[in-house]
Amino acid sequence: MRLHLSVGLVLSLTAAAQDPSLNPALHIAFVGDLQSERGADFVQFLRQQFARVDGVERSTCTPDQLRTADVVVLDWPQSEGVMAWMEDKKKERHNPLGDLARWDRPTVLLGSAGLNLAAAWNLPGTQG
Amino acid sequence: MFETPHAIDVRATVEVATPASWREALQGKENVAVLRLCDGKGPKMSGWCVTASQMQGAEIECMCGGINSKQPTHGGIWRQGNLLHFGFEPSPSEYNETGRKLLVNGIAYISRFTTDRPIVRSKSILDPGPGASKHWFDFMLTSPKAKVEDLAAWFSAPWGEQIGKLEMAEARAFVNERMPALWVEGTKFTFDADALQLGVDLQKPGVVRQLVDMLRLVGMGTSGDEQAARARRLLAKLLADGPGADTTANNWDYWLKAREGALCFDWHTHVWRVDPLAFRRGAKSADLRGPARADGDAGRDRAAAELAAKVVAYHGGARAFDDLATFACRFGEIRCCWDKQHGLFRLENTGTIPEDNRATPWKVVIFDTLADVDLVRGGGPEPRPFVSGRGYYWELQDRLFLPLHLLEPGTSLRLLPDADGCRCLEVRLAGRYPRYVYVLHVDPQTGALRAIDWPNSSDGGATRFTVEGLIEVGPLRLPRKFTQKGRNGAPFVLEYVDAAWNPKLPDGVHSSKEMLLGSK
Repeated sequence: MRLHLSVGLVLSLTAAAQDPSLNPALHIAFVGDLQSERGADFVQFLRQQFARVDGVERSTCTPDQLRTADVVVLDWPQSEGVMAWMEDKKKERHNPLGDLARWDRPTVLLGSAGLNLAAAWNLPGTQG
Repeated sequence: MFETPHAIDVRATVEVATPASWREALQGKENVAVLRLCDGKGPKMSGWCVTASQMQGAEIECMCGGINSKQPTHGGIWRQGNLLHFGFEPSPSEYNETGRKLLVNGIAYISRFTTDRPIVRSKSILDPGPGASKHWFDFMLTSPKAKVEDLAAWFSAPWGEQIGKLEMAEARAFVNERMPALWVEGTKFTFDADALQLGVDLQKPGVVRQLVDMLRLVGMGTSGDEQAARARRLLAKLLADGPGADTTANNWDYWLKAREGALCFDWHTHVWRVDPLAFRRGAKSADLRGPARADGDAGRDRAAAELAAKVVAYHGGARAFDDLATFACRFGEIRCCWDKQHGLFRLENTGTIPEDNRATPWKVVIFDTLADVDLVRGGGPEPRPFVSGRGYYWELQDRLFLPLHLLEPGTSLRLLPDADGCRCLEVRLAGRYPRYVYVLHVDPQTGALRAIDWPNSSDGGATRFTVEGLIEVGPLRLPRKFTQKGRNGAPFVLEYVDAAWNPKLPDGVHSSKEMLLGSK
C-alpha cells in the first residue's frame, strides 16, 4: 500500500541543511541501484552526513560485503522483489542480506525494501 | 527518533484535508495536522506502510504513520529488532529538511540496536494459500462491515459450521468466550481442545508455568494423568523453541526457571518464544520495550569518547579492524582462527589430559558468531559435557580485540577518575551479559592499554590483569600478554602467540572435524 506524502511545489536539488557534525561517526553501507539517479542521490547525501559510506550494488550484493558496516541502508523496489517473485514463482529470489538467522547488522529498509525483506524472511510487514 | 541527533519540531505541522480512507476512523474531522517531509512533488511510488496488527511483538515499536490510502493506524516508520522500516519512498533531494533529518535520525537510532533481532514470525505473501491472519480476524470481530459467513470461514471444523449458524453478535460472543483457547491450525483458526478442557488461557503470561506445574499431576488418579497428558501436548505446541516433548517435569522446571521472564507471545503464529535479548540481559521481556532494547549510550559522553578514540587509534584504528577479514592465533594448547568476514570461529585443542584428570577431552569446535550457535561442539557424548565455542569467542573479543570495539555504536562508555597514573574507562560491549563491565587503564599520553579489570564470575568484584607487550599484526597492535598477581605469589599468565593478520584459511575450516590448523 502506498504512502502519499504531503506535497508542495519545489524539488530541492541539493541536500544539505542539517549539521553533519552532530551525527555519530558511523560506517554506512548503502545497498541499491548505484547506477540510477536515486542510488547516486542516496550515496551523495549519506557521504555528506556520515564518516564512511560504501555503495554496494544490490543485484550482486552478498552479506559478506556488509559485515563491517555499522548500519546497512537497503533500497529495494517492489518491482524487483515481491512483484517479480509473484509474477514468476520459479524466479530465483536473490536476497542481498542473505539468511535471517545470520543477519546481525542494524538496517534501514527504505520504502518497499521492508515489504520485500518481510516476504523473504517470513516477518510481519507484508500486509499493507 | 524525532529528537536526536537533529531536533525535529513535531509541532510544525500543517493542516490538510482528512484523507478519504481515514474519515471512518476520524469521524467529523475535516482536517488533520501532518508534518511535511517533502515540499516538492515526491516520487510516483511514495512508499509502503503496514497494518497496526502487523506491528505486534515484544521487539516491535512504531514511530509514525503517514498520509496514505489505508487507515490512520498504519505504520510508516517502525522497527522490528535490528530492522528499521522507513516506509517513505523519496530520495534525499526529494525530501525537505524535515524529511532529511528524519532519515538521518533513523539511521542514528537503529545503529544502537546491535543485539536485538526479529522475534515474531509471520506467514509470507509468497507462501502458498491464505494464512490465518490476525488482521482479518480482528476485522471480523470489530468491523461493522464484517459478515458472519466470513468469520466462520476463518475457522476449521467443527467450529466454522457452528459459528456460521449464528447471528453476528452471537458469533462474536461465541468466539470471544473461547478466545483463550484460540489456536492456528494450518491456514485456519480453531479452539484447542486441550486448552478448552484445562481452562487455560494460551495467550496469558504465566500459562507456561501453569502447564509445567500440571505435569506433576501424573500418578494422581485418572484425572491427574489426563490433565498432565493434555498439559504436555500443549507445551510441545505452545513453545517455539522448547526443550522437547519428552522432557521430564523436573527438566521443564529447570528450563523454565532460566527463561520464564524472557518468554513473549507471538500473536502472529500463536506460540510463546524466548526473547533472546531479555534472556541475555537476565531481564523480563515485558520490561524491554522500544528504546530499552538498544545497546550503548543514548548520548555518548564526549570526554569518554575522546579517550576511546585515542585507544582505538593506538591499537590500529577502526578502519584497520574493518579490514581484518581473517585472524589466527594460539593460546596455550589451543589454536583458533576467526573468519570475521563470514562470521565463523574455529578452535582446535592440541592438548592431552593427564590420566588422573577428569576434564572433558575435545578436539574441534566451530561456532557461528552471527547466528550465535555451535556448528560443531567439542566433548560429549552425553552425559559428559559438551564444549561450546561461544565463551572462547567472546574471550577473544573481550581480551585481544577489546580496544578496537570501543567506538562501536553498541558499546557503553563511562569515564572514571584517573588511577595509578592511568586514565580509566568503563566499558560494556553490546551483546554481553550486564555483569561484563570492564575497566580499561589507559596510558594518558599514547592511548595504550596498560591493564584491564575483568569482572569475576563468582563474587561480583573484578580482577586486574596487566597488559604486557603487543602483538603487532598487520596494522593492528593487540595486547599480547595478560598477567595477574596470583594469590600464592605465582602470577597467572595468559599469552596469545602465533598471531596472523588475514591468513588464508585451510579448506574445510568451516565444517571439518579434523585438525587443520597445525600443531602447537
